[in-house]
Amino acid sequence: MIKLQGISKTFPPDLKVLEGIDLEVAASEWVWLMGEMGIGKSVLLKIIYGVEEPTEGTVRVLEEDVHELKESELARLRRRLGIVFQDIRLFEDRTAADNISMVLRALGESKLDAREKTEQWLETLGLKELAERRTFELSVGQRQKVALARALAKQPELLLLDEPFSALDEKQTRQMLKMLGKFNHKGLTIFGVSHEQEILNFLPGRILNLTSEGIS
Amino acid sequence: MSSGFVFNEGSRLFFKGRRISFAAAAIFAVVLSIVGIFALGTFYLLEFRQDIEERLEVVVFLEPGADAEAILPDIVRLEGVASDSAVTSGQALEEFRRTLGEDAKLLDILDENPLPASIRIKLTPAYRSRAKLEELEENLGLFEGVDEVWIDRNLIDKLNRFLFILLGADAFVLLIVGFSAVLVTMLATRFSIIDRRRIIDLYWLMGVAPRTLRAPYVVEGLYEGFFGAVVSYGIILVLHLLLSGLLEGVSFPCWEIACILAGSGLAFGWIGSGLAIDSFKLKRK
Repeated sequence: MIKLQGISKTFPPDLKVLEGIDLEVAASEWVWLMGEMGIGKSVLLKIIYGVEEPTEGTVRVLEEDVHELKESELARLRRRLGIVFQDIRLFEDRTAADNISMVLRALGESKLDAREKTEQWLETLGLKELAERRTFELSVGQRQKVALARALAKQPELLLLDEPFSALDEKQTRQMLKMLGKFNHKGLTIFGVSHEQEILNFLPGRILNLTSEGIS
Repeated sequence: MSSGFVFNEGSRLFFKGRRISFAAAAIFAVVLSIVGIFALGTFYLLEFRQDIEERLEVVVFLEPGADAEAILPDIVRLEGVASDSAVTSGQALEEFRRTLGEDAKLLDILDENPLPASIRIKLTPAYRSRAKLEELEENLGLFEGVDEVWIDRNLIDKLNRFLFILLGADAFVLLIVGFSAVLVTMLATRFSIIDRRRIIDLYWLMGVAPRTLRAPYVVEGLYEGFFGAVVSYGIILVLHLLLSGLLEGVSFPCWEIACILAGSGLAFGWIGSGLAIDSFKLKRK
């Protein structure tokens, strides 16, 4: 599902963030990459999603060489992936429901299907009451949930999560993990990154550590 | 590509977007009005030419003593002849008198009628060209009793020359104003893209196809062209109403003008926005 080989990333002029990273995530696996802040977890996630180019190494996601893809091919790959960014990235002046339905419409869903799926995912994530609230009126935690609903509504084969629970309390985090567990059991591959050591105790799946020496 | 999404986004860009779309449509209206004025002038001239052509007559002067009535049935059978009528020398003199008006008494000093009998021929539309007229002239000259065949070919030539020049001017104006319209749309589209860069990037991150992201800007360009055309149509119609007082009997070529303005507007909008989105690259980051 994900195969990283010899990934290095240096930001100009000479800020080395990642070096020689190898990683494999199998289909239907749930993997958490832990590590302290600034170690390069988000950069690695962005490299997997094709948002950042690695300085060295190859990235294969769903059998595609991410950084060799053309614009249209990359878009096609991203349709099969779901992502929640650390900085959330929502349409700020639109409602929570719009944030999901607009993306579904742009991906080719009919208006009716997009509306039905949006309602379904907002309900699943416990956001039904907030559907018509504009996203800038929501708390960070609620915004994270909207981003997660948007990612899941695409029915991805692989879900990438960047600090997805950073603004949720323990109870909400457990609820989200339980819900994601159900999707994982149905075959969804999940790769998440987090720096919060306190949630380690109840994180499911394989847990890896990213340090300056690499992944252990 | 999701056509519903593309159309909705394109409409949103134009109607709910920034004032730049409306400013572009206004510039389109001015530019297309110039195109419309030239088109209207050309249609007036075409109508005038048609009117002249319908009145165009070939006059066959007969030799003294020739029997016009005997030649008439043979002439009407010729290709290109719509109708013919005989004019006796007496009728010709009477007509000439009417033309001269008060000066007609000058004719009284003549001992005899100098005007010959003639046959006047109306032409079918296909025979209103110079080449066909010459062919007809040759055929008419073969008839016994025909002295001379007279055609006012200079008028047709002048009209055709003027029409040719006007059509050339039309093409030139279309090219120049078209270039300006394309530039305006390019600028408007670029502003629109810059204004919505964050939204485009977000859609792109969610896996929306590049074609789906770019197409709404073409729809916006088409809207600008179309609304510019609608306004310019109104302007040309008002201009025609003002001119129709001066130019009696001219009709307004509503469909032709509408097609020219809408066609030009849509084409310029499409080309301009197409060029703008062509140079727009999606960010990897």
